[in-house]
Amino acid sequence: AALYGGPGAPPVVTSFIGGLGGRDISAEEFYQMAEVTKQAVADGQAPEPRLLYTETELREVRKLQAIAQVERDELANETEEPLEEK
Amino acid sequence: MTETTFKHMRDLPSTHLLGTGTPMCAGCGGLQAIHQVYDVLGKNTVFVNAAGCMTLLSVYPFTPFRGSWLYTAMASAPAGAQGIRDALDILIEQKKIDASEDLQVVVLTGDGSAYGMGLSATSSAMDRNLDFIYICYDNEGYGNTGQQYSDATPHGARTSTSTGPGGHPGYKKDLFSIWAAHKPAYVATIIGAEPLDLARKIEKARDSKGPRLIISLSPCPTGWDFDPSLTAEIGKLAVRTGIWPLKEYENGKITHTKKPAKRVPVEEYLKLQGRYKHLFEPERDETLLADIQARVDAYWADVES
Repeated sequence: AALYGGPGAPPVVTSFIGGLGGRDISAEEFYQMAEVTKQAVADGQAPEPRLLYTETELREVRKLQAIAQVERDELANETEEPLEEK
Repeated sequence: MTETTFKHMRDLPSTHLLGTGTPMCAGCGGLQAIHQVYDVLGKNTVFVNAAGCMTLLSVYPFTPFRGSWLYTAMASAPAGAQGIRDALDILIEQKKIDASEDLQVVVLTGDGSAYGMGLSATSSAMDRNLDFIYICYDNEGYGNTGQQYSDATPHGARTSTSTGPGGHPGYKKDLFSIWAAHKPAYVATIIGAEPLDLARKIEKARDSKGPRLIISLSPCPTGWDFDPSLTAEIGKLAVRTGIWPLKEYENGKITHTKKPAKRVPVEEYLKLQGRYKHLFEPERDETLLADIQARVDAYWADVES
């Protein structure tokens, strides 16, 4: 925010979401965010917003998504009406 | 008194509509209640969910609900509900959807929102006589961010921001009375550990119109510091000690739906929770224990008169 709109600043904003609920964001994650941003400037466009997960957190999220998906598939087969994924 | 379909435990729904794959804490008293509430309210609902513990109901792209789920800023769920209600009304009036496709709009928030920053939106929604249901899962603190104290935190409880020797210096806000003062269609307190009482009240809310608001005391293993297996027992004790009165407001009158005949001492409820450990160790804080008991006694003395 401090740098935005400054002279000579490239018109690129990269989005990251992290630190929710008091989580720590590591130095390595900041270096990676800088790398992604440098690449975005080189490409001339920003990638999609990224959520910051630890490896464990991401594994847990994938597990939950898998559980939810299995149940939705079962329900869809039961009722024969397609359930929409939002 | 109107008829209820829920006369006995065996009359309770066996549907289990709520889906799997949510990362709620084991033993979540809020989820315990929501399961039961959803089975009574049914699929023709749209949930408007303020930020809070139940943010975690959604693991993108899924929610455990059969219908839609709108996620709002923490203070804004009743405002979101107004928008959805208006949209449904307009669609029905313009015959773009059939009246049979109408949905109940259900706000779902924690105590942080309901007792605090969301109170303004709720007050205005009642002022406009918005036709909606409000479910507050009350775990007596801002649970999702690490159990900081909220306006619902009771006197003497330890939270991450009430770490002094006496725990929380404040007192639990009387949200039931604040809501009832607006003279809405219905206000009630429920708890997941009392399924029959819960089902009857949700049925009553479901089958009426106007602002219908419910507070569910939600024992919280993570925030209150107890083993997840004790959620139901602690819930039952909350009622049997008289600490959580089960009551409803309707047509200008308040009725207690469950009056403990001989109240269990509040200690039995407090000592199971780590957030009250300082009342018992390293030595008993008789003053604070007596104070908590006295307040509960005073409430019920007032009810009796």
